Amino acid sequence: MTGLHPLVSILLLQAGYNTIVVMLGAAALGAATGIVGVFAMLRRRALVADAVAHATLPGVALGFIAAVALGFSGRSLPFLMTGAAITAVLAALAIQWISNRTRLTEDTAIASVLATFFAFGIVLLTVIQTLKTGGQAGLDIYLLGATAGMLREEAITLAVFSLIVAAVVALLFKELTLISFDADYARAHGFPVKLLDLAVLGLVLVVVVIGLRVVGLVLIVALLISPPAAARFWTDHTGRMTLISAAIGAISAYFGAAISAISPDTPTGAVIVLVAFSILLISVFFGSARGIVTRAIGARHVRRAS
Amino acid sequence: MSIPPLAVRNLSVQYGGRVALDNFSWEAPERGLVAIVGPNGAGKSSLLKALLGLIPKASGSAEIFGAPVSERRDMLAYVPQRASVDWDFPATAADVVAMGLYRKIGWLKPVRSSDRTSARKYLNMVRLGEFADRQIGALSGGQQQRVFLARALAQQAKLFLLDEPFAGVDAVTEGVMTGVFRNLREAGSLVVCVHHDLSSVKEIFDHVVLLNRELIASGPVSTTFTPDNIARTYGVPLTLTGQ
Repeated sequence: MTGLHPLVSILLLQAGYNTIVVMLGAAALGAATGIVGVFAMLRRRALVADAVAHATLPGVALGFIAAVALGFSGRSLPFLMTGAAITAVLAALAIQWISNRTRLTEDTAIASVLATFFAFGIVLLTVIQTLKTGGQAGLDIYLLGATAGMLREEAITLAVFSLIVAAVVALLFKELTLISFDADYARAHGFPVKLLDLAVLGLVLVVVVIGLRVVGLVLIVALLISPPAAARFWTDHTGRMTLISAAIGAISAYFGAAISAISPDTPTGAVIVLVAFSILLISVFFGSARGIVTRAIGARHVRRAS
Repeated sequence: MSIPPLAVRNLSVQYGGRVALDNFSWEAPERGLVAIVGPNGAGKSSLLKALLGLIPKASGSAEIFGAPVSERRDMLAYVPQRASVDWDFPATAADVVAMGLYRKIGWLKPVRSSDRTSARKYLNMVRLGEFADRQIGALSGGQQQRVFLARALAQQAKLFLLDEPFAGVDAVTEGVMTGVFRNLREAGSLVVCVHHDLSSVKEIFDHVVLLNRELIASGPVSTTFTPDNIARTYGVPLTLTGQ
């Protein structure tokens, strides 16, 4: 390890065993968000995903309170994750109800639900600070994410859930592609579009909840959307786009976890999102299918040839 | 063989209190090419969408070969309006045509190379063989419409329901599509098109449905597509060019 910059040695998996496991777990999460993000983007669910992510905050807080009340540690993960999932589902239902039953548009519904749930979560966090239980100091990591202090078991759980998410997308791949491209056609030919939409939302929910610990609820939408947005510049195939998006998500999360290993005070989520955004920026200009520079060069070739 | 491929009974559609289609009943001929014609807002697209269950029916029902539409989905092929999808989508012409095979491939199974080969076959039928690997956004409007037609052909349906297939297409596409429709008629299929261009009805279709929120007239083009009926449909006397 001597001679190498600490970041390089960590990236090359020369850090301790626990760090390695955490980095690989984060990479698995990044791959899963990259895969699900393709359909969140193509089916135009990015804003709903963001609202659902923010709506996990009151759930995390309520999970903490419930755990303490029942005599468990406030940071017990099953409580926090269950709470997060419940309020996220409630938010999704609220958005659906408002846009179907009132004359408000969907984006208005999304914005108001996002802000309201998040505000409720902030209030609950403040209440928790006044409790005399201890352990509340760790709760803010769910806002911006942290891999520091993450256990091996948590990383393995991440990897297992990521694998399940990837398998579900693989099995439903052609149907999810179909409803993303032409929902009316799918409906006319008897495909259960509502159920498939629910599957997309369910997958978004799963990656958001399992990603809270690493990326944090404020920024996870960026890890959902930046990888597919970047991948779109490299290919015109949904299948290849999904693989590239998975790779970009994995690389971003891996880097984020590595940098967190050096400087534990840096919020992991912020670093992950910045890496993902850098890849998006490079893709916008140099992507082989539709990057700005690639196209300009292609156009010049066409002009010369003619 | 007296069961009609398509029968609509007392179908009504409402949009927020406004009646888009009023008590429409119609029995389609056994085979042939049918144009559904009427002014803007006459309920032509609503008719197709309501009978397919894409928008709610206020009342009425539709049957395909004597059974409810929901039990006959594998016998029909629907071609939505071209403008209804995002052509920037990451897919090639062959990818879109392969979607017509998804029902046959079945759940949980991937698209295989034999499916891709057969997608190319249908692209050849609409003379787009050399565009199979092109991203769909890089195709012209007429070519995109032919991709949609090829996807419908891949379903090997007996009943084709098309929403404005001739809208804004070039002469080549119009010729190719007309040829395909005639082949389908020879093969015994029924092709129903929502159509906007009165001047080409006689040339392309053999049956016509004149619609203005309610059924005005229906029957063979030669006897039904009369200036009188057209005037009743559009509310004003229209002169047809080329008559």
